Amino acid sequence: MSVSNTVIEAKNLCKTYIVNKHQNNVLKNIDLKITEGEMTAIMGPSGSGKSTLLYCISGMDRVTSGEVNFCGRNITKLGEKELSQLRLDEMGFIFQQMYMLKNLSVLDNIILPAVSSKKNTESHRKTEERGRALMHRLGIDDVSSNDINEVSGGQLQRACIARSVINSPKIIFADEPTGALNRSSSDSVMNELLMLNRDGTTIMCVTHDPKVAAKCSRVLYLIDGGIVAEKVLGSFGGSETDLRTRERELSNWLMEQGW
Amino acid sequence: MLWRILKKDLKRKKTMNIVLLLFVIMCSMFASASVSSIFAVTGGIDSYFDMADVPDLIIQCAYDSDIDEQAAKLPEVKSMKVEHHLTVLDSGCFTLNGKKFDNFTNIARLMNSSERAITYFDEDDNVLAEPAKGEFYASLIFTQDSGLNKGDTVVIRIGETELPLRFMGRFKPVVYGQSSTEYPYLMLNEEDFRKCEKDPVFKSWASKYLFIETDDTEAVADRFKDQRDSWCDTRDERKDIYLYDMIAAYLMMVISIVLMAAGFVMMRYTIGFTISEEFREIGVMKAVGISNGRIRRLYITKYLAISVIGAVAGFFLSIPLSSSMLENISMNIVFDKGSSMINGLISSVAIVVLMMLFCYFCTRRIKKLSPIDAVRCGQTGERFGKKSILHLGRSKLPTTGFMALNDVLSAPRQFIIITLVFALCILLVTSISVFSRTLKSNNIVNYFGIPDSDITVGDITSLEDVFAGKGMKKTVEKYNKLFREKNIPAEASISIGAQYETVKDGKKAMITYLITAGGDDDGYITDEGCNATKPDEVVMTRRAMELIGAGIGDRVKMTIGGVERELMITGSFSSFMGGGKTARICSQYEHDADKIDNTFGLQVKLIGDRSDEAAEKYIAELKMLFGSEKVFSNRETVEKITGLSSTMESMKQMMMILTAIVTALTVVLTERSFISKEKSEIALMKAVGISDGKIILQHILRFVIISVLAGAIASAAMLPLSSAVLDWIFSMIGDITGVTADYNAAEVFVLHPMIVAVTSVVCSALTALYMKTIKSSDTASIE
Repeated sequence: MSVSNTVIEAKNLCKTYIVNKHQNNVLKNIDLKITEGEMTAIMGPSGSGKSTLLYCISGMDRVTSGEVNFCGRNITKLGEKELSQLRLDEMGFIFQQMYMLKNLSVLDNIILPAVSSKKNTESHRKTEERGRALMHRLGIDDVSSNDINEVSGGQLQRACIARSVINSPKIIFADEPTGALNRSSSDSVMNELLMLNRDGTTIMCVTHDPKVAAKCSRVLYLIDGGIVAEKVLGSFGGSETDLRTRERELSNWLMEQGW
Repeated sequence: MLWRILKKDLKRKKTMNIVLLLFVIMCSMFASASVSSIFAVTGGIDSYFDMADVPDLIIQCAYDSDIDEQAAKLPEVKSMKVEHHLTVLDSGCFTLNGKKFDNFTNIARLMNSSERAITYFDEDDNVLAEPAKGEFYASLIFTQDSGLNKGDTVVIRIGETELPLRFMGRFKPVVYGQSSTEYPYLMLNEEDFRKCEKDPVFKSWASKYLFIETDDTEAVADRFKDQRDSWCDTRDERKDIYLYDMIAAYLMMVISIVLMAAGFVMMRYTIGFTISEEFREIGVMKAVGISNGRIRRLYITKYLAISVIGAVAGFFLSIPLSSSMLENISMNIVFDKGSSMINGLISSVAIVVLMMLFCYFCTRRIKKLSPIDAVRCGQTGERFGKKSILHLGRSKLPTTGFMALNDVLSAPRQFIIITLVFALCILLVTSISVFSRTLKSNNIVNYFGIPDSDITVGDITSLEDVFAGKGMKKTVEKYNKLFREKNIPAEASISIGAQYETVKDGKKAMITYLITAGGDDDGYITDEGCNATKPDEVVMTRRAMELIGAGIGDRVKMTIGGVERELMITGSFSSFMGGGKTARICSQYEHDADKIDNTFGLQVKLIGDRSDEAAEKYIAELKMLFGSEKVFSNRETVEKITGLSSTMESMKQMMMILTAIVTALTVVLTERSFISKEKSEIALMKAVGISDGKIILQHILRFVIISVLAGAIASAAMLPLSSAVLDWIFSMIGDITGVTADYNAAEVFVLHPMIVAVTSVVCSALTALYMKTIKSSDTASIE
């Protein structure tokens, strides 16, 4: 795994909501760098601003002040259309709830970003083949023509992963990807993400689960809208022993942060 | 607690509640307006006749006839009033600012205001005031297309008389004909009337009307029905003069019913939709143990509040709508506005009741929702039917187009409802358009007894020789000679109807016989059998045959030219004339001049070039030749006969506007519902990088697909439906079946569907802009 180029860089990032004339500073002067090939976990108590940070640096939400550079390009200055294009071609998203379009089959949901991308010049048929291959790799090829309510949560989340990588994005943003899954489904989803990361995809993931965070190379800890601590775990080897060691190390660190 | 939940619901689901309220308003508005017009139309003529004190029997006779003296002696006659009418044979005798009137073809009739036998009303539905000396009121036939305004002075110049009269306004002649081929009526001050009476020129074709109240209508009618020079009508028979108005009113009623149905369909859809949207709340309430009944009560209370507010607003909005619906019809009829308002109010209350029943029906779904729905976002996994029919990977369509088509096919029920509403609206406009065009087409010329021809000289003076008893054939010869002299390549013909008593096995009936001089006796369309080409043959309408209990092959007796004839029925035909109680005999006969009942003037058939251009050219020449503006193409003639065409045109315009409004409302409300329902999907699409423009386009394309589908359904149904409507309407006017519908393909297949399509696109595009407020980051915060 190469750790060289900066994919995301946030400088002095602030996000403020005004509710009933009351100012709520959700993110306060955040500085952050995510380099290519990293798998970063963002942890913190509820309401600390984890998801907001994810949405702000991915361009899904507008920042109040500060700068977010994606591959050296300041995305806070981009218009909606350019941001959409960027999300379509360069980023992938996975959410806690397995959001998919109800009127499309699982396979069609997966290939939707690809057929919508101007960058993609291949035929629909070819894209479909690619989608099937991706589903096969994720072990869900048997549900390709199913409706989304005909598959399990784990299968659906793997389909969401397939959708997020169909356009070979530079980075995948995952907001509690295993939050709605049981342990075995959760493990299987994380394994897929790890595989993608090993293939060179940068991953940034918001999680409450230390088991999930333990598989990441770096963990950022947020409290009240600010990054208060950072833990570098290094690459995960994949063995059960390694995982237990990392989990223990992370738990100790989290307890130090008041987790 | 329920009240608190309800209050929160009304606040939180503001948009959907407003959507529902708008539909209730629309529904209540159409229901109230249409019920008012339905009542006004169905009971309208009767109540109008009551208001005007129209008696049991009306007899028309010659000016100097003694029928009134005979009637007065009859024991069955309770009371009798008499009106004398003078005549002005030519419209050219009237001038306005030196310009002769040419807007009506028939003889004008002058009435004496102080001799009124019934109550007449002015154009504002007030009892007609007494005109002062030098003033007059006139009926619509006299005023329309004349440029006449209140206060203008019209000069009657005829014989030795020159009478300037100031126009005081329009009046409704109640029992006298309303169609444009009928007589125009002028109500004069007694002094002016008497002045005219002194000049014999006003008395040719002058007549007298007897208004009789009787205990035995049948006996008095029988006594005068066979009398020469007289026509006898019962009060019910007189209602036929409003036939064309009634047809327009019934069409309006159909329009109202369809609009109301569209409103209800959309309302049901919205209620169903709002309930399905609330699966989570319903599930949670059930989970905490609230009973089905209480949950249902909660929704019914909410809908009761919405429907009461909507019904009240709809009722007030229906008042101007109802007036505009009845505007054309009320040109001739006085409606009882008070009862119309009450009917509107009743229908608004009915809407509330109906809404409640509707809600009760629609809230049945609550029973089906379980606490599991709340947990599983309404997807319980029990439905394993395939949703996606199309496959993106195999589709050749652009992604946005695919998505739109897939959406429509995935939720066919909701889109079918909208498609049907659109199709109904298009069908209504096209049916009216087809009817309006058919009424002007050559397809129905024959049914009016007009022989194969291109031009009609509608100036009644062109037939004065016929009225003078010189014969139809001689008159035709005279005109053929004139055409030859003037190098007009044309042949003349005259078709005239007259009523004769016809008898079969003792069963008698007055039947209108048509004789055409100058035409081809074998050239008319028969429905069955063959034309009457010999003196002992007759063809009859089915209605005429029914009257005397005859059939094809039977022999009937009638007296013409003072000789009793026995005629064999050789066939049946369709006719608008004589209320469908019509017969046709060969051209060897001449009518008894005193029985002549109806004619549309002199017909001219061009020889050689019969194109519209040629007709236009010779119409100009014939106008010069006859010194009259009343020379028309056949299309214009039929238009003038029915007078319905212009009503239909304005109905069509109104329907086009209503279609656009219903389409706009439907699109705005359903699109807004879609956005609300699909909020999470829209946010997701934005999150994965699909641009706003593409999502908006997807939503617009759904409505384009629906519009195209609706256009196709309407186009396919248009011809059979139009034929059915035409048959129904024409059967009311005469004895007509199988009239070929005439339509403008560009208008019916392109323009009308385009109204719906363009309105849909514009409204869906504008409404879809709302989805810009949904952010990609909303994906995580949507339930």
